[in-house]
Amino acid sequence: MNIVNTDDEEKMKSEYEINCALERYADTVRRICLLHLKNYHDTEDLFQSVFLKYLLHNGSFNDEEHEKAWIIRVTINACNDFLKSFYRKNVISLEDTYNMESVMDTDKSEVLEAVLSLPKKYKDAVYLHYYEGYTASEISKMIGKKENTVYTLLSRARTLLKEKLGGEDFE
Amino acid sequence: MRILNKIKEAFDVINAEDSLKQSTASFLREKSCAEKKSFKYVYRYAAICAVMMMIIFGAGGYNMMNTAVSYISIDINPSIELALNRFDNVIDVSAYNDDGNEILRGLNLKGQQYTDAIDTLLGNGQLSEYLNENNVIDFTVVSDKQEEIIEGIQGCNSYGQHRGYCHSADSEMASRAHEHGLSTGKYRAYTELSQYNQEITEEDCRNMTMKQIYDMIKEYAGNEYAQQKHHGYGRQHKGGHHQSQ
Repeated sequence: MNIVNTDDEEKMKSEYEINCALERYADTVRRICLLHLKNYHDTEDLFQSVFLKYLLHNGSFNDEEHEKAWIIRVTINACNDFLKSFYRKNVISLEDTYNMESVMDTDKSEVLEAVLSLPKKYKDAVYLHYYEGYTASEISKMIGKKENTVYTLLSRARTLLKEKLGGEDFE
Repeated sequence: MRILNKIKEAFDVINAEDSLKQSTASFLREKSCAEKKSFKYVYRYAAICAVMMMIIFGAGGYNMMNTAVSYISIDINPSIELALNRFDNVIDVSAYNDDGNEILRGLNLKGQQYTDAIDTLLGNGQLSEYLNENNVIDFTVVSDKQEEIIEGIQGCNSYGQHRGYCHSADSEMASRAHEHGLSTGKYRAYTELSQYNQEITEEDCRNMTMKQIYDMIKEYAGNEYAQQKHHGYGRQHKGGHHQSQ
């Protein structure tokens, strides 16, 4: 019996599309994972989960920006789910946190450590605003919080970073 | 340098490791194959189910179209039986004597509604030779809806033009008739006659016309019986209705 490609099958992303998405968004996903996850294995699991959702996603994207925003939202949600999971709460990993100093100079490492040491609720907002350049309005849609809440998160995060890194050349 | 620029520079250095990309790509390749396979299996099973349903329902429908649920035995001297399906279409025609075989030669009644088949049969030149005052035409219906079929027969154009009687019989009588190689109508008349003359056999009745059988019954039972049981018997162009279970 000949089996023809069905609509559902056609909707599934091709290997080429998956590779393109990996090239485009792997670094972004990796950075968000760094904000929340402590080791490489967790990051690997998260990668598989996020890009599997992308593989199976049936909807279409208006443009690359829309696609990127979707990937970021899915990654943040996946990180939140992972951190809430029973496994994560009850099993202590044998691996330690990434050693930042091994991959960057001390100055940058210090900044990164400062961001990573922020309370969880501030980290996404800081990354999305100061690194990705999203506005408070765009961030509010991505993390599912009110725009004013995002402003507050950013403001408090700035205060905390000033305290950690010294305020004179903060802005 | 402003700290905010440092944040940008610090994150710039963070890149997904090649091993991470490769392991993810290979995981997705496997998943993609598995998903496509599962789609194929789903549609393969769906196709198999569809074919099976078609076979089951197709066979059911075919069976329904080709299973005889009613019989109409038409007897003068020629004895002919029509087998009808659930939709009252003729699916089989049998002759129970040579005269019946002669009549059916060249006639195709299959597929017709029984009323049309009866009109065709009675309108046939050869059969009309038997339809005279020396003969009677006898219809015996075996069916779960015998009243409806008898009404249908009585509504046929040809029925009113000839001397006809309608009877009903049960399937047991039909089976016994067929075992003896007789039409249900003739066998029913034989059982009626055998009540008065137990020496008479099925073989005797086989070559008798219906009128001859009825005449004998009349002889044994008297005129009253015939008038009572065969209402209208003896009158041309009239039909009577008698049920014998």
